[in-house]
Amino acid sequence: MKIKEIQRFFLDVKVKDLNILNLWVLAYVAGKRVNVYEDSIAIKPGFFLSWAKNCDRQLNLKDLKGFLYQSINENRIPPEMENIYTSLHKRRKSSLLTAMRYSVELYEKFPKIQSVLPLPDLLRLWSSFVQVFNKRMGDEVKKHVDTKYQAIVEERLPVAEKQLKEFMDDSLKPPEFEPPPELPILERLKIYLENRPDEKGEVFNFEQNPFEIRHASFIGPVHAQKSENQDATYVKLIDPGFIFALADGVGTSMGARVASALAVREFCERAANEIERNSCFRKESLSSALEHVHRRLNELLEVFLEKVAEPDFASVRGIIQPDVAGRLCQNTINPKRRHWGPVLSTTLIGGAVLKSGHKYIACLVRIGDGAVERSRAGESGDGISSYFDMNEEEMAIESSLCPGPLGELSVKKAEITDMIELKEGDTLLISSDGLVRGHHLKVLEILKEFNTDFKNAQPFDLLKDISNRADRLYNDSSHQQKLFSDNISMILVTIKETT
Amino acid sequence: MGLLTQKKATANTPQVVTFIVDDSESMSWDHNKADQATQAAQDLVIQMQGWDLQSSGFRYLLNIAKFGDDVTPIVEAATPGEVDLGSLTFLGESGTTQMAKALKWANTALQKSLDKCRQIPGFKEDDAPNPLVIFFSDGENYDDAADIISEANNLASIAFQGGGVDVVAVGIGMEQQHFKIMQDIASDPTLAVNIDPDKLGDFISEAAQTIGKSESPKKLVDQF
Repeated sequence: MKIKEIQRFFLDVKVKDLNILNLWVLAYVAGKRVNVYEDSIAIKPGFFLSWAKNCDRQLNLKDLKGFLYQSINENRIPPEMENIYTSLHKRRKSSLLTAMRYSVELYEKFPKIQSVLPLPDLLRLWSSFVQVFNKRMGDEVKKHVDTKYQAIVEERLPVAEKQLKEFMDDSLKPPEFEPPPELPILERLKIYLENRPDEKGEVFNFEQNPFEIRHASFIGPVHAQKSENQDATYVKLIDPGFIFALADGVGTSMGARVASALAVREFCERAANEIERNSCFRKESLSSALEHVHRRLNELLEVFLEKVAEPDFASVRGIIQPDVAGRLCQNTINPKRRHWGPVLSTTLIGGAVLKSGHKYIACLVRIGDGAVERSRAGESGDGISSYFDMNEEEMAIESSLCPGPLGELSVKKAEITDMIELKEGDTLLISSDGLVRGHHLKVLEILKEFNTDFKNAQPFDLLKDISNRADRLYNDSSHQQKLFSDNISMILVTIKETT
Repeated sequence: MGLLTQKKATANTPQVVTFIVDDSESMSWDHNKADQATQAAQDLVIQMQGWDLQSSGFRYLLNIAKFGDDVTPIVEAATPGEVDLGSLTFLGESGTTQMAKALKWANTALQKSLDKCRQIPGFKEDDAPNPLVIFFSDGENYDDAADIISEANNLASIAFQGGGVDVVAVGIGMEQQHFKIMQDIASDPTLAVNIDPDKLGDFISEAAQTIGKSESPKKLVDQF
């Protein structure tokens, strides 16, 4: 099976069989293009088997979760695993850890699986899972792997692939991957910052699904002189459509990068939950999602107030000194100094696109700036309409999503569209202000100028390519032409035409 | 004389901003002038730290000093992130008002800052905003006027390819006969202003907005 097919399955399948758990883990990691070498070397298959043995000593699911989320009572860690515990949580990014967390969340969520797949067996499955990736390593590493485990994987993989094929034709609800609601805000944030599909580019294009969605975010051209990417995008598939969000951290706001990463995830998760709970879509679901993001930002600010002076938060503070950081946080809660911008501030464009019978509908919400355009073949005016406009020369934004009273006001004043009807063949583009800067065209027009096949391009590669070309233009024009002079991000949606 | 421009401060075109604040005894008398200057100057630096946050380099270089009998430099050629806010205080205890020394210090500090900018790879002096000097005083000068004018001319004449140095001279509730010298210090007579002492904090706050928005200092002066 190719990685893309596994990824498709991962997003469309519903729990029906015990082995699905194994497949999810495989699919998730394969789809995320894990750094196999780095992760699998750190966790030998024997680790899982050791833990499986320790289950006989009363170690339970709660202990396992605690081990993975770094919240276990250290007295409960088996002595032979202490080193692994330390080294696992030293890594800033570990797709393997993410996959294991994901797997245990699923395991916990479905009691039926637990009744027939005891925890030790789950761990044995993980053991063989790791072998799959050891299998994909180069010869240098393979010599470390016990051939016995490879044989287990060799035996399991065809069965898993067969089940994959059997389920491919079903139109089923995708599994959820979200941190449990009771997880502390910093842990949630860590998961979000470690899992940034937008910073590699993500494409959803499934045979059964009428939508093709591409999204990515990028730091932008060199001439923009940005020190980091503060844009973020996220897409969450639901039945019968998807939720999306694009956020652009306010550059002069401390913590802008974490704010945008948190905002897109929490918006999508909450909007999806609302729609599923209500079994229908209402505009209020989007407003409610914005309120939820505001609450999360408030939670995060409370933590920052306590910890922002600590060394671990140096990357959030940037050049801001610790005592000043504290003052800025206080001013966000109680804005006495009107010229001090709030911390954790971001813009946000979010929305839902759904299939309803034979129709396609969308609803959009915006705080701050950014553009949303729709192109439709056969329409006058080049067929491009704008739902949210912006002035390409205006640098200041009027409102932003942030903690405290200013953010609360912004949520109340958020722009929200009526229901928009879309048609087969329509293209919808959501972009941050970066793609609007330095020209007078619609974003869809300028993307087409740079790449006539942009609708089929890998989104991250597209953004990187246009940034490089913007830099060449800047140099060739003796630094006069500054195109896309900011972080850039986009979500591109095509509604497929049925034959 | 400097040209009044609206070029933007960026990592390749940083702006040099110099504040020289009278800290003579009269600043500690009525209207809480010294306190206002302290609060507003700290606010300014905090805002500027925010402006530098997402930049890959620095957008501003700061020179700040207080003066009385002598000049006490607080920061020289420093980025906003390098400024120790605790040292940015004005107490009105520096003696009398000796303007010539202050202007001479500003000359040296500004040159040092420009040299630092010129070390930046890709620095585009032509596109950088004019260096901005804002000079504050509330009282009668104890120096020879000729010395002051000479130092003011030296300051305004500093070579800068992007235009010239803008010097704004701010009298803080000055008596009219003492204000004439401020018009000589300013790089253009229209950049000299005598403000209500209760508005000192507001002036520095608006100066921050002028800098942040890359607006003309003339626009700042006209507000007061």
